[in-house]
Amino acid sequence: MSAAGRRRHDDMPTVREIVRRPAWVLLVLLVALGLNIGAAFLPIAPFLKTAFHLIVAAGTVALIAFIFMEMEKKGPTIRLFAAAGFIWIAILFLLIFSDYGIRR
Amino acid sequence: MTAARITPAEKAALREPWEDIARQRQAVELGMWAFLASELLFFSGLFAGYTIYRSIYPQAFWEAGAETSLWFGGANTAILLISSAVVALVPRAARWPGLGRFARAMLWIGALLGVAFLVLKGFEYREDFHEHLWPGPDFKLHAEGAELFFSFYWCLTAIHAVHLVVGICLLARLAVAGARDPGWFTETPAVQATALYWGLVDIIWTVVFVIIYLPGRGG
Amino acid sequence: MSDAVLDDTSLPHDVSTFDKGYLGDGHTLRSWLLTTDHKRIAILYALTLTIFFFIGGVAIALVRIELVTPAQDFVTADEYNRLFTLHGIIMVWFFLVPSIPATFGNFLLPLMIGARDLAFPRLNLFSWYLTVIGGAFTVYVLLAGGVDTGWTFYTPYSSIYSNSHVIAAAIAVFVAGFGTIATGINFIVTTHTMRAPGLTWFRLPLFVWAMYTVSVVIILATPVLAMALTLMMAERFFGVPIFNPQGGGDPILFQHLFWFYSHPAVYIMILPAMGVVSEVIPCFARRRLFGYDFMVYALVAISVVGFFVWGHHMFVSGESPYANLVFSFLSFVVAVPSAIKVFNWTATLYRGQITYEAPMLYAFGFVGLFTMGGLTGLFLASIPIDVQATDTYFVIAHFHYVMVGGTVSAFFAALHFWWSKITGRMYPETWARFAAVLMYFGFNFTFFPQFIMGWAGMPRRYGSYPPEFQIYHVLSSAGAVVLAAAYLMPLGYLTWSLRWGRRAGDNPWGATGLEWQTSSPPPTHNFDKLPTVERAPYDYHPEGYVETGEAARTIEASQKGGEQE
Ligand SMILES: [Cu+2]
Repeated sequence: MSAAGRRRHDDMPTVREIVRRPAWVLLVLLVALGLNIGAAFLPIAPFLKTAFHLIVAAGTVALIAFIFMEMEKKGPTIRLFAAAGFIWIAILFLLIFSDYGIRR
Repeated sequence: MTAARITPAEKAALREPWEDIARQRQAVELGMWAFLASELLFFSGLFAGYTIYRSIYPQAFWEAGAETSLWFGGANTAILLISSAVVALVPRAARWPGLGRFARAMLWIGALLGVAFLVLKGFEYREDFHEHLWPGPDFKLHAEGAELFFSFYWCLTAIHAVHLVVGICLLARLAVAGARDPGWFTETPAVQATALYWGLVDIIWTVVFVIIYLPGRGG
Repeated sequence: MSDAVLDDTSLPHDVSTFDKGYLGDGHTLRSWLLTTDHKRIAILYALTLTIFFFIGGVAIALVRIELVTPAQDFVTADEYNRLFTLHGIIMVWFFLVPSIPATFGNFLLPLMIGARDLAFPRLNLFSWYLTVIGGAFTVYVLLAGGVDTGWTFYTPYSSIYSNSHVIAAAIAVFVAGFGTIATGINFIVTTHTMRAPGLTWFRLPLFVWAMYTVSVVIILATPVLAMALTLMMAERFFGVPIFNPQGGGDPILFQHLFWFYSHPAVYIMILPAMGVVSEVIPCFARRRLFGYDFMVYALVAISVVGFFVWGHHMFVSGESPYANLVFSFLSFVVAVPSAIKVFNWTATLYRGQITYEAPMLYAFGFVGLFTMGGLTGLFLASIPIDVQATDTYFVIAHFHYVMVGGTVSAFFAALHFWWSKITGRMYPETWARFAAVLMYFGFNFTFFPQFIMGWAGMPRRYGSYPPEFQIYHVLSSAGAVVLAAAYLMPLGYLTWSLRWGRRAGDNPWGATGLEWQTSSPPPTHNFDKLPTVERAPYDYHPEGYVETGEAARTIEASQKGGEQE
């Protein structure tokens, strides 16, 4: 089992190869950050701004999770647990707003 | 079961009751993701509270948001994004003995960026105190709910900072232990686990930045 | 093991005649406090939790003494508040929540799946230390004068007005909470990665399923409590407004976050109990568990839907009527999988060869009391009745039927069922049967009157009350004496059995789980040769199998030897 996973020296990637993909993603994330800050100053309705901010944030989170944290290479079990974190937050928000959304 | 074929590096990284390093690594990874899910729920209470109060006092939150320092917040966000890209290189490189030094250098850079974040945070906190942004009798703003915004500002950033301190310690520990035993470093599940934790710290900050620093800009 | 070992007191300590297994691994304190063996950690937990169980018991004994007379005359009102708070905090977080998972789960999960240990043995030890540190904070609170908020820590009383040791108590709960999270992660990873060859998910014993599902609930619910307590502490310590209405805050937000954990916490207590009962009933009915698949689905359904119902604790708090409707409906929904489980346990008994050993009596007690607690839960899930019964003894009786009648009965069922596996000795059956029956009657004696007085309007958390309730309080306090005796008895006879109990043999019940295939007590590495699994669990009627019940056990015993008398 471990023999199959054992790495041979000639398979070793160069630093360049390792850096390339995360570097591109970082570039995208920094541009997204700039866009998000820029959008905050646009003369549009606050809720539109907030929605835009949150969409950009969601994209950032997805890129960090999938690329930086290598979720893209993980099996269903790990994805399920990661998803559970987000789904349970959704449950908390949904049911808590069944109160606050209607209160008063 | 394959005791004869276990390399010294694997042996150094193996822990009871595991007999196979690949399976141990899978186990640690799953455990770490389960822990991260748990951490997400930990912060969810703060996020839910923030959202509820913002829905009750939208105007006050908008005014209060404008009082935060976008310079500090934006710079720190960029620092943390760069650091998580740097730390993301570690598990990709650490498994190759020839890239061990590179991986450890990345750990140190990641840790230093984390420290830079904290230093900026410290300056930001000092400025906030000077501007009377700590909720209490001489709080700067008067709109009802503005204090609540800053309660969440302090709680969110402080609890995040605690996680960041833990993360910096983990990065430094891994770098030190890896330099002492480079063989262990190529095999240990701690590399993946540490990188995952750092990723979570960045994910949390991404949301904190958006909800704390961006409201109320541009009038 | 040979027949020569009739009386080990006459022999020198000779390990070859009786293999002490993991218990013989070292006798120093250090060998226990630094152990990473899941079986020894289970014992550390068991001892710790037993101590806390009795501290919490003493606190409530004082409360029950106060309540014998209508006047507030035994303790002051303030002391009374501190006593019931201490009882609640200790019993919930330092007994019920960790009880079955941290002791029997820890001991049995690796054995039941054919593994050598949990996935992270050092994390396991660490989680015990977290529990102990949390416990130390609780003891500090106790010695420093207590905390008077009630176990629920409701704001703004806890965060602003209370003059008691709120922060230390909250830290205690916070730290112990992370102890259970660590255990939960350990169980999840162990179940996913360490099952024996052939042990597929749908061949897992229900106890393992219960440990797995409860772990998922633990890791998703506990952190929310941790944050609720953190925010409460921030408001109290730093004075920043969070829940305080004077700063624009909403105290009910704390209740939402608190119950997002604390309703699932009831399932954290009851799912493991269901797991235990699902092992015990098939064994003593000599029947395959009825509807295994649905038992699994029911566990999963309870643990998910259990998160959707927390608002039923807040019907009168000012929660919106719309939310009340949603939470009420969902609370009825969660009763369905619980009912499926009760029906399936009952159906397992049908045409079984039932024998009434102590674990079975405790398991029956569980089914009866849990059913009672569950059905009264339906009363409380319907808004009009809950508005009437809120903060009365009806609620107290309801959740004690579930949490004490249910979980503690199952805890004792597990204790007796696996006692021989843990110690290698049998408990004295007659005493144990007597204690089981006594516990059932003592429990009903204590708590049934509380249903009646609660229905009649007796509110909770008062040390004085109108005289017309006295009869019920006296009955309840008298019942508590019986219940206390029933809890103390096992402490006596189980301790006795450690030295004088007869050797149990490896599988005294003729049970089917993998844990019974290794010796009792198990060796440090659990199995001499790791098992493989070819069958579904609860295989109590394999092909060609004739003998059942008592007869089967006698044959089993004579084959193994090591039986005396
Ligand atoms: Cu509930």
